[in-house]
Amino acid sequence: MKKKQISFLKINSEELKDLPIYENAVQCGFPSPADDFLDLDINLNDYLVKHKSATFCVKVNGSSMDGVGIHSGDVLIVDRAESVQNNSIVLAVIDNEFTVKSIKKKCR
Amino acid sequence: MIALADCNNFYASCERVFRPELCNKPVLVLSNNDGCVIARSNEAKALGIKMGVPAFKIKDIIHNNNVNVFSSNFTLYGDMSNRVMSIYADECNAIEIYSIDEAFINMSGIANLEEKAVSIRNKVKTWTGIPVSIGVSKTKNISKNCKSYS
Repeated sequence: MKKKQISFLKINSEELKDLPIYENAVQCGFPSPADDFLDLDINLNDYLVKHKSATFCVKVNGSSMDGVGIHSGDVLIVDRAESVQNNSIVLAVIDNEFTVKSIKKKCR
Repeated sequence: MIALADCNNFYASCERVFRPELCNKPVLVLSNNDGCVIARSNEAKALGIKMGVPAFKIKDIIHNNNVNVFSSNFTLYGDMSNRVMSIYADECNAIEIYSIDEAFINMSGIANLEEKAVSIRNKVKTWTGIPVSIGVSKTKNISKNCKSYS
């Protein structure tokens, strides 16, 4: 049997603690002393999930989307509430099977 | 005004969300230990399979019509139910959850009831993939009866 291109994962919606953002952490050189006083927290659930009821996680199998940086084994966050635009990357159903594709709209 | 929103063939629809190849195919969900039929897609209903019938009694129908049979997966149904209910809750000021797939929705103060009901139905379908029917009326009782005509 053909291996499935994607598989769904169950989302654990346990409360994720807010993590501090270190804005200057990736800069080279002496870090800003003001960083110590920054109070920016990030909650990864809020940051990654816009519409909780419409969000599903899927694991990718196969290398067809390597070109856009989606590799085999990667986990995608799929939001069914988003509308499709040109160049959107979507979880599509083609020939009754889920597959990850990017959308190219043709001009007429 | 009160609306009653009911997910169509809920357990069967939940299984279909993740198995698009089952669209327009007969789908059954069985009770714990695969005893009785507890959900049927419209195609399965059309084959004359009745609600609650023990699975062993319809073996031939299942085999002859390539009916897709699922053991129940209540974790999945609970998760999908929470999604649907929270969409209802976002769309109005009060809901009363009546069962895993049914809720009463307070529609008071809404001018165009039909438009609102259609927009809720479309939103649930887009966001979760679950089809719902909605009946709107003055009382809960009448709403529940209206639902079958929507």
